[in-house]
Amino acid sequence: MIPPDLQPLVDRLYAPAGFALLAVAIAITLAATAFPRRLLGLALAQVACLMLLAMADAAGAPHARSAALTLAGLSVFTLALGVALLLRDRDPPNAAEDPPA
Amino acid sequence: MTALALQADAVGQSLSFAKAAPILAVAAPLLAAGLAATFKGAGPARLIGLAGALMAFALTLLAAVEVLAQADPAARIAAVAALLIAALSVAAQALASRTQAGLCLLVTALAGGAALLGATPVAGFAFLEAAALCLAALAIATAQSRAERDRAGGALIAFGLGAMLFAAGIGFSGGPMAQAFGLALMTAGALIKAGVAPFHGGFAAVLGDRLSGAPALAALGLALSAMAILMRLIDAAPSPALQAGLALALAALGGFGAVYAALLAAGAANVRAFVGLSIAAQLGCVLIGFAADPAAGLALAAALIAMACGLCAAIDAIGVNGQERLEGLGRRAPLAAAALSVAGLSISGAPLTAGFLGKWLLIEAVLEQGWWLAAAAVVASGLLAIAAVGSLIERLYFTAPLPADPPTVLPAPQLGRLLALAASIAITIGLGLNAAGWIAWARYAASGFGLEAAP
Repeated sequence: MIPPDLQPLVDRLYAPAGFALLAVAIAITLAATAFPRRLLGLALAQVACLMLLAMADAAGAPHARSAALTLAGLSVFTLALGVALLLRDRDPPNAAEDPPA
Repeated sequence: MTALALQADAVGQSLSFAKAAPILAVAAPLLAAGLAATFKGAGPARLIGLAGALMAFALTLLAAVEVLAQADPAARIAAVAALLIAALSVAAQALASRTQAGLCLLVTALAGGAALLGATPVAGFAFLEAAALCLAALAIATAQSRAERDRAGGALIAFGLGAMLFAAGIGFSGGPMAQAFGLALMTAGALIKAGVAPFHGGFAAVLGDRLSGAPALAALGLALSAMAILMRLIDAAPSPALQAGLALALAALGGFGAVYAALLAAGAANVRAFVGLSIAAQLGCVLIGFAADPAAGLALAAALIAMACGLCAAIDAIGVNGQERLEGLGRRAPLAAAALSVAGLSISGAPLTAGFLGKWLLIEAVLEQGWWLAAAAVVASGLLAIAAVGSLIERLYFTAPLPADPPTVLPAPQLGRLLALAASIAITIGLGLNAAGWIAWARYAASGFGLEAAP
């Protein structure tokens, strides 16, 4: 629970923090070199977007909650896929599948 | 007991078969896709996939007839788009391998669901994202090396970024500025799935150098579904000024995409790249059509589906990657070469083909809106296509294979592929020869949806 005297500050910071996190996460997504790592950046960006949608829901935007739920499902899927692929890629590469250049 | 019977009767009346058809049109192919995935044999899996696609087409037709009787113009256009996607689904199943059958059916079913059931932004968004995820999964599942899988993963990233933009846009409400910003975000999110250059990166990552028929047609279904959602966004814009501004922005993007992709297609290194980029260029024209007059958009989308079916079936039938091996193919694979030529002529807007009438309607519509630059873009993309298609036809029919070329081994003929090739030629020329009914139908489907023409 957020103390009542801090609530206005949180409300004021929520949108800028969400946008900043979104921008940073998109930058991480695009800057990451390998595909599974990019997925983790994308999941982070989706979580930042969830923050914005939560704010929109609190402000009474129609459909914001449903969109947040859909996006939450997508971000869980993205995160799970990213982690699974990263763990799989830690195994030594199959020589037949990935011949040396 | 009596009260229970009365309740059941009331439920039965409210849930008539026609009303349930849109849900069944999505649910039936989803079940068929699951069933197809459980079979190890190629025959049963492909047969179930085809049965699911045919069932979805019949149910979508029922649903579309029901929706066309209503007054909501955006829903009518979306229903016709869903019908076109269902037709694409049947063609994709005719070309699909065992691995592709189930996933392609998932993509087209969910893309059709986005068009049929996407009455609210969230419903359309959820179906569209699920379809895009399935398309990316198809590419990742069929990747043959880690490098190929990582390239296919680029599609997942692109579609994921699009999802985020769309969802963020849904959250914006309140003042006019916030609404306009939200609409812009949702439009950008949907455009990533509409396959229009320069937003075609996700599709290029999915299809890449190994473009084959069924996934390409499924991707086209996703693109059409995204366009149906864009139409709903135009319709839902809070003010006429915003509606007109969004339509103009989409037409500008479509015009840029049509010329950009046609330029890339004219310099394509191989026939697969040529096919993919030509479809992207036509998607740009379809977007202009939807923005200017949905009747032109629908007519052009139908022409695009017919030609894409031929191009994709021809690629599978030829089975070559380099354009140099197309020399003399007109004699070795006459049906595939004829389908490539007819589709190419339709792309360039040659008379007596579906593409000619589609482009005619399109230019008429954009000139009525006063969008001269968009008209110029359509003409320029057509001229670029003429140059590329001319070179293609010369290679197919008028150039002998070089003695140094190794003989091309064509894949074994397949019934579904032959039917797709024949259907593409027949529909492309049939629509070109007998246009009156087709155009009247497109105008009927799009009636009631209209931007005011520029003064």
